[in-house]
Amino acid sequence: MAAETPVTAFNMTNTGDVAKREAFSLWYNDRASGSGTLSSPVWELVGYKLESSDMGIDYETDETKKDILGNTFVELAGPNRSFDLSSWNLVQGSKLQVDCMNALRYEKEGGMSYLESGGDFCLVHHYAGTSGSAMLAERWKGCSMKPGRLGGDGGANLTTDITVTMGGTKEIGTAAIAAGVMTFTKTDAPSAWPASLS
Amino acid sequence: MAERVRDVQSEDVITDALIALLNQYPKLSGQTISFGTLSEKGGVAMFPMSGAVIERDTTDILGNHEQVCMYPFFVYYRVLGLTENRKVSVKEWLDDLGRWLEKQPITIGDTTSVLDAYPALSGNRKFLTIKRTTPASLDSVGKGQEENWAIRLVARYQNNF
Repeated sequence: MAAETPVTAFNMTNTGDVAKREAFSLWYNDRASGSGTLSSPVWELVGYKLESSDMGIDYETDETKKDILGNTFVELAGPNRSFDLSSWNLVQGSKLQVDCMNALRYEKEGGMSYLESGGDFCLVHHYAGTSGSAMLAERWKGCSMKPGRLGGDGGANLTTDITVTMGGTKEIGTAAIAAGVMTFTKTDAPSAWPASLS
Repeated sequence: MAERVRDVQSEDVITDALIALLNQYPKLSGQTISFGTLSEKGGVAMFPMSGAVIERDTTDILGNHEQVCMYPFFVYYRVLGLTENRKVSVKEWLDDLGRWLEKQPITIGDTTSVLDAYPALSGNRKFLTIKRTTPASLDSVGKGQEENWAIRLVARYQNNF
């Protein structure tokens, strides 16, 4: 497998075009209640009836220091990536929501372990790479899923909050999407930070 | 005030469904509720007020739209030569129509009737609620002394696309 060549531009048609929110998607391999496995994943697109969601990027430390010569330098650690799925309507067909419910129900029987590291997720950047057939993607095989709330106002829809934190083995690759089915293909990262980006 | 955006595509669907639903009212006793037409002598008819308007339009992170729309309408009951008792009876008939559309139980003789579910709509639309905005009242009296009793309602529905 040849090492991947970094893209040098997004894939929007014209200079000045902007990407829509749906151009960044999160996919869940439905291993618990569905038929997906780590070797043969079945990907579910996350976010139907979810009005707003961000992937937060948290650097454990972000410190600006000065050495004794007066030079300023910054130290970063992390980053940890977390997806905030807040005020998400409970929807028929969501394996992720079903798996979270089951994991809470059977917490002592292994459910907590599944919530801690059982999530297999893929991030797809539709705005980078070849649109539709080879979009840039990252797969994380040991993500945590933290259901934080279930409820809502009287007369309104039942909603839940779930926080997905990327963890475990990270693979970079590309994603193809056809008829709603996503296929992730692992690629090799460059052996070092590409000189073209330095 | 910003002008409300109309849901033009759904208007016919909602109108047809409401007319069909109104004509299932258990207290019709052989009457028909027509659309937008009343003879001078009397009858019952439904009239839309402003057409269907979009109350809320949200988009999920996948780009799917969920619209909540409202369709205000009123039902007119025109009748001639009402006695005081008959006036009460017409008002109750309309108020019961409102209750029934709100899925509240209504009493007909010794039986109770409840509307269990709103009719299915075409496409990805569904009724959410139908509620009264006013109780039934005398709206106007015509030149021939015919009385027009009215109840105002609003149907809310969801449209996903």
